[in-house]
Formats: sequence, C-alpha cells, structure tokens
Amino acid sequence: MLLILAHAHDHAARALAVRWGSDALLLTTGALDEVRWRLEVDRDGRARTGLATAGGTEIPVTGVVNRLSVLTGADLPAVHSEDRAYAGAELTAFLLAWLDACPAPVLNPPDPRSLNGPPWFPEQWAAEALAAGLRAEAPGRRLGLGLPPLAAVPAWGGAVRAHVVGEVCVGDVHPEVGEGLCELGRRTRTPLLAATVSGHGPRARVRDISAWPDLSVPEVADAVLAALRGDVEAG
Amino acid sequence: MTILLWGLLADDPMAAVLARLRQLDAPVRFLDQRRVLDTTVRISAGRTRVTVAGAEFDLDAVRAAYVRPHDSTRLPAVRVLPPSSAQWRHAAELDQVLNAWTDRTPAYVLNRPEAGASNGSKPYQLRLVAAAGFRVPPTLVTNDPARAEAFLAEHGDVIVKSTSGIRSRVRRVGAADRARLAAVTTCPTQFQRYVPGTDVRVHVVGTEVFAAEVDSEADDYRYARSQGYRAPVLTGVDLPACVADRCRDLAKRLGLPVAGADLRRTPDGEWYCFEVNPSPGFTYYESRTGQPIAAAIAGLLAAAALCKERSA
Repeated sequence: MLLILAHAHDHAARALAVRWGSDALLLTTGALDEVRWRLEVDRDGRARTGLATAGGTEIPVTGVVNRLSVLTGADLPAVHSEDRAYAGAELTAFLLAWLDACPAPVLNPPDPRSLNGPPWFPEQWAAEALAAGLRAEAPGRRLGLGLPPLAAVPAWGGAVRAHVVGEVCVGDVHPEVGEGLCELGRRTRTPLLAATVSGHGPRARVRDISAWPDLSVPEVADAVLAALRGDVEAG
Repeated sequence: MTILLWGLLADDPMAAVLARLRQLDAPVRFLDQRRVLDTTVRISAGRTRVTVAGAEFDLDAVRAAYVRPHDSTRLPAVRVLPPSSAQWRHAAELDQVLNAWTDRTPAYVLNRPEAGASNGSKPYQLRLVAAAGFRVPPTLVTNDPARAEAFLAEHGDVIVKSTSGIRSRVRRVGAADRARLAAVTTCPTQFQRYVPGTDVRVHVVGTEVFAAEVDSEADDYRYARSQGYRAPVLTGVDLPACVADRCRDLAKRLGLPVAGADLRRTPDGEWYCFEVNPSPGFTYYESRTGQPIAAAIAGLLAAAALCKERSA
C-alpha cells in the first residue's frame, strides 16, 4: 500500500490518491487517528514501524509520499482546543521518528526540522544549487518594522517549471540543467524538488527551489509512482 | 573579529557565558532578543547585516556564536499582540531568519539549530543515541491501546513521557493510567521500560566532559521538590574513560559541540542514555557542583573565534 500523508486541503494529494486508486491510502491530518500507528525501539536502537486499521488488520506500507511539513493545532480540530498545540507537536515528533524508521521508501525523507525535507529559505537553496553547479539566484531580504518591502523580483519571460523525482527531471529544461537539479536533490537528500528555470538553454538560471513539486502534474505523479516501486532510483 | 551571543540576559546560561567572555576581554556582541521589535535584518548579495535601534553590524564579521534564542513571540512586548499583528509576524520571522543564518554561517556556532533539531523528537534522537554505543530503554510509541497494554504487560514497570521536545514530567504508568489506555487513540503516546539506577548528567563542551551524579528519589529529579521529595543532591564525578569517550562521540555525531546528556548507570554497571539536550541549562549543575562549564564554553568560543579569524 502506498501511503499518502497530506493536509486536508491538499488537492494535489487527493488527485494523486485518485490516480493511484486502490494502491493508495490517503491519510489527511484530521484522519491520522483512524489508523493505529506504532514505533518500537529496542535497547540497541533497532526500530520497527507498523500501521494497522482500527480493527487491527496490518497495513503493509510499501512506500510513502509525505506532504506534511509540520502539524499545528489548526490541523487537529477534533482535539480539545487547549490540547491542540501540544498534540500537533507530539504528532509531528512521532511522524518524524516513524518516517525516519520506515523501511519503505519515503518521499521526501524527513528532516528533523520538517517532515518533508529541509525547510530552507531561498538563500539556503540557492547556496546549495550553486554548489550543485547550477546558476542560482536568491532574492534579497529586508526584515524590519516599518521598512518598505523590497521590490518584487521581476518574472522571467519564458520561464519553465521543473520537477525532480529522484534521478528524473520532469520539465522542458536543458539536460545539463536537469542533471544539475538532480544533483541538487542528491546533495540535499531531497529526491522530490521543484524549481523555476529561466529558459531552455544549458546556462539557464534557477530560483524558487523547494521540496514541494506539483503532484497534480501527471508526469510527476507517474515518476513518483515509479520511484516508490523501485522502477527508478529514488535517490 | 566578533563573538556573537544571541538570546536573553535573563537566561542564566547566556548571562554566565557572557560574563566569562567579558572576563577574557573577548570581543563580544550581544544580540538582545528583548530588542526584537527594534531589530532589522538585511540580506543582500550573500551578506547579512543586523541593525538594532539604528546601530548596524555585519554578521559576516562573526567568527563564533553562542545562541540560545527563545521564542520571540512569547516575549512580554509581543505575546500580548494578536498573531496577525505586524509586530508578532516580525518577531516570528526574525527568529526564522536568524536561525537560518546560524545554520549556514561559516562561523563556529554553539549550537547550530539544524543539529539541535533532533531533540524535537525523542524516539528519533534515541536511535542516534544508540548508534553511539549507549543502551536506550525499550520504547513503544503508539496510538493502539492493545499494543500499549501488551508493552505494559511485557515490561511491568513503565514510564510515560512526551514524544516531542516539549518539556514534560517523566512519570511511571500507574493503575489509573492503565485504566484509561483507550485514550491513546487520539495521539501516539511514548512508553519506555523503567530503567533502575543512578542519574548522571553529562555536559560535553568541545572535548571536555563534566559529569554530575544526581541523588534523588523522584522518577524525574527536575520535579523532585514539587512532588514532595527532598531536593536532589548533585555531586561532580569522573566518568569511566570509555563512557566519557562515548559522550564525546555522541555529541560529535549529533553535531553538538555543547551538549547535555542524560545518562543512567544501572546497578549492573550498564550505561543508558535517555536523551541529549542541545541547549543545556548547565548553570543549575554548575552552581551545585562547582564545575566550570560556563568558563569552558567561553574558552571554546574564544579559541574558535581566533582560529576562524586566522583562517579568514
């Protein structure tokens, strides 16, 4: 079973679940308590994860697509209002450990600060992209009460959206740029990536990098399925 | 060359390190979180500059940093405001931007938030702790009442504590808890086999190790007084060399030059580690044992800043 974890309003995740049909189990934040989770750690640190229905039937998890970064009280309206923030922190902490210990492929692997890969600012992504051989740009940042906002970054004419799924780059970009984006995914242990590319040439620039590709793009959804099934290297 | 300290002066460890650095006549810049609403940050062309009440300094000049930021939105001037207010949002974003800077600066940082984040999930960190060679208590985190029941039956004496980094009192599972195990369905709950023995708190500072044995009858000595037990008695002790080395290795693996490890020595002589605090409140232990932890941290910062300056 392919497990999809998502916020209740994540339409792309719902579309993915529909596309994958009975192979997928979508669990939104409000429904996490409808199944039975467990994580066991023995005295030598060996971990085992498990998932079951409320009735106790084991759910064999063969892959996970995680669309959650962190759970907050707002994700848990069924919990008593005084306990929501605490429950959100506890669930986030549990899912980090569970996803990290899960023997099946997890896209993206969790980072201790975000359940879906590193939660970096644009300047951090840009620094890693430069190190991966890409021509990356990070906008400036100005933060202060009463300061006027920085001028908006002008849009690139002819910009292309690119998505990385492991060793596959989906998008009409030059192969050298595609390889650079895949290298960025390997460097940052983030097999699922998205970025804006300034054009189709080999020296195109990239920005708006994130760990949140658009799963509603059919080619991306198919590449994710292939990666989870092991048809291609997930990174 | 600058050594940056970021946090609150009312925070005892921060005040202690600042005092020791000033004794060393080190070039310190204290970024006071209480001034959060007067603070601006500009990031441009890879440079980060901070201005506090009109005085600007360049974070690129920082060679070493000791950071203990608290949640700025909880500061008195901010917490009374709604989260939608410009001040509240500014405070939250400033924390994020400065935390991101401490993660990526080439300066020597005690400790980088990225490294400390493992403490946000105790079972996640537990596996890293075990990888360094410590025993860890058998643990179950579940929202399945039947599994919880089976764990209690297998291990008998079991404690329950928070899964996240939110501070909670560690306590044994009692009869009343057993009667309401069905409540775990709403949120996975962490159970651990109770490990008998003596608590030892270890502070690692670079290659230095300071161990304090804790004599207390309480399951969680931090709450001994509030539970009616006598105050814990702390005594500085020397660890067996192999355990001290394991602590250094653990701190290194976690990327934490300064770390507070919670160990327990069992009657059989085994050493368990429950968790590692990446931002230890060491002054409590220092005040009771006389161990020079603040001085060690100040010395580490000063030495690191000098090395970084020479290689800059």
